[in-house]
Amino acid sequence: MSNTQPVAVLGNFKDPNLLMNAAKRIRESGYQDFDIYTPYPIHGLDKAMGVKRTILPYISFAGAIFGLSNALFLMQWTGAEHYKLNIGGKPLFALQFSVPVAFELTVLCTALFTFFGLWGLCKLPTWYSPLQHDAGFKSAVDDTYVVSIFAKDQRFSLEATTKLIKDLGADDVRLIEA
Amino acid sequence: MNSNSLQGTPFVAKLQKLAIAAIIIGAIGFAASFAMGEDIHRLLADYLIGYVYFAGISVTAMFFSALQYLARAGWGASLRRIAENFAGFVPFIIIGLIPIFLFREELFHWIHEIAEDPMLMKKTWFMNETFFGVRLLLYCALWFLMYKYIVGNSKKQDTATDYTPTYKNLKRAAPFIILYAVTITFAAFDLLMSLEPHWYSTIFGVYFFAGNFVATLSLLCIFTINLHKAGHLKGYVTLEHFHDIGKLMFAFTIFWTYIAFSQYFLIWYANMPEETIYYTKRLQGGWEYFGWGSIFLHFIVPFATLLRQDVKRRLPIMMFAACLLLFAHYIDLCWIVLPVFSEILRFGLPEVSAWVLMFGAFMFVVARQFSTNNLIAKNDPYIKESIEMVS
Repeated sequence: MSNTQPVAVLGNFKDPNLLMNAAKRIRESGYQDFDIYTPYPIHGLDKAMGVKRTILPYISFAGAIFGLSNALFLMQWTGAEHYKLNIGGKPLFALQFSVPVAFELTVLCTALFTFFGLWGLCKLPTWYSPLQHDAGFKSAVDDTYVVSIFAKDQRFSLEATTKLIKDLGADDVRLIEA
Repeated sequence: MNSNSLQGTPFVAKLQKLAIAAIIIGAIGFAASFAMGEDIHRLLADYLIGYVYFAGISVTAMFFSALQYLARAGWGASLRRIAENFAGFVPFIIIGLIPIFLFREELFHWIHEIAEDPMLMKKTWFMNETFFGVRLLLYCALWFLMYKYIVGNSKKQDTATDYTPTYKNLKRAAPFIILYAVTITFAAFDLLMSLEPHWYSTIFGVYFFAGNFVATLSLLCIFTINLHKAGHLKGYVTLEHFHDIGKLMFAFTIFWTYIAFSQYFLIWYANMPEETIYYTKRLQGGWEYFGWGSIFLHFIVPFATLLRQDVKRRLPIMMFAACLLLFAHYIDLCWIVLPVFSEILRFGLPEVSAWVLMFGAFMFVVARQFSTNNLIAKNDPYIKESIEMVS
């Protein structure tokens, strides 16, 4: 294992208050590329970490517009242009009977855009992470909060970053290499 | 932190002044239109609109309180009393009914047409004066009893040493909601739908409820914002509560649209003369502006306004949306009632003054409620959850 590169420094926390403080301090120290893994959602942690508001609603909205315009186009083109059929003397195209179709397609496209938009934003599916073999990292789904600062970060330096996480009260601070 | 009643505060004083001013202005306007020889049918229709508007809000405010109990909702505990103060108008509903019942023959023309009209004859078992009167009395009586029970228990909890009054409400909230659903549906049939005796729509009660609930939430929102600004709700109401009211307002605007469209769509599709007459009348002679206005003000603008998440936490925008929805509910009721008595658009002093008069009466009662009841449900088991709530 001679040509491995450092990936991240991990530290395990047991106390949520220490964790909140740690999130705040790491952000204030200027780190951008760090993450925190918790077994359950912690209110206010995203604020302490300085996580930006997600762009997911805009993706959903784009889906809504896409669905709505497609539905209206579908009703107009199939009914009034490409294959005209007189059904019960109703107009070939009218907004009235397009509303249910437009509604359904708007909802469907919004849901699909949101669902797959979330996949994209979460980088799913990810088949491999260098962190996944670390035993301490796995405990983040059980009873520990895990903080990781990635080596990609510009401010990352092995000594200073390790010291920072240790000072914030983490046990078992370790370097992950890959 | 002030959980006592608002007696003697500038808020109540202002509300009372507003109410009295509205009563005077409304009464002058209404009397002036009567003195100018305005059509009695028009005046009665205007009165009916104002009456149904505020009676509907007060009954639905009671429903809001029961809904909190039914859902064991924690978030609304610190707002519930405000809605219950609106419900304080419920005992007066029967008084407002007197002119409607006295002039019933002018207002509900089925009463004298039913003997000759073959289409109406089959409805005689339901639409006859005796049963009509009995039903109206029954609604008032049931609403009064429900008010005494649900709101009464809620107020009793303030001074109780244990949670018995709340448990009683939790137990009775479900049958209450069923009773509310039945009474509001039939009240909508009797007071509004029977204005057009040939026409029928089974969804009309739901339509009426949806409009009422949106209006109630909007009024609740306006009052909560003003009380919040005056500092009376400090420590009890946070932005989270506005967020939740906003979500409900948003959801029920869409619900109203859904119901309104469902009613229109089936009638449009089936195209049967006795059903389409309702919309034909209302889409010509100038009334189409009210119809379009209804779609625009009751759906498109509030939908676009309330869509974003952060908007529900901005009080000026919430204030705008709430005022808009209250106005839209009025437009909607006008669209239902006014075309019955006139084929061409007429809207002016009598319409506005009748509403202002009823607004004054309603606010007068509500102001009294605010000065007698505690502003916050004091010993409520949910109040702590409500204060700490994060939506």
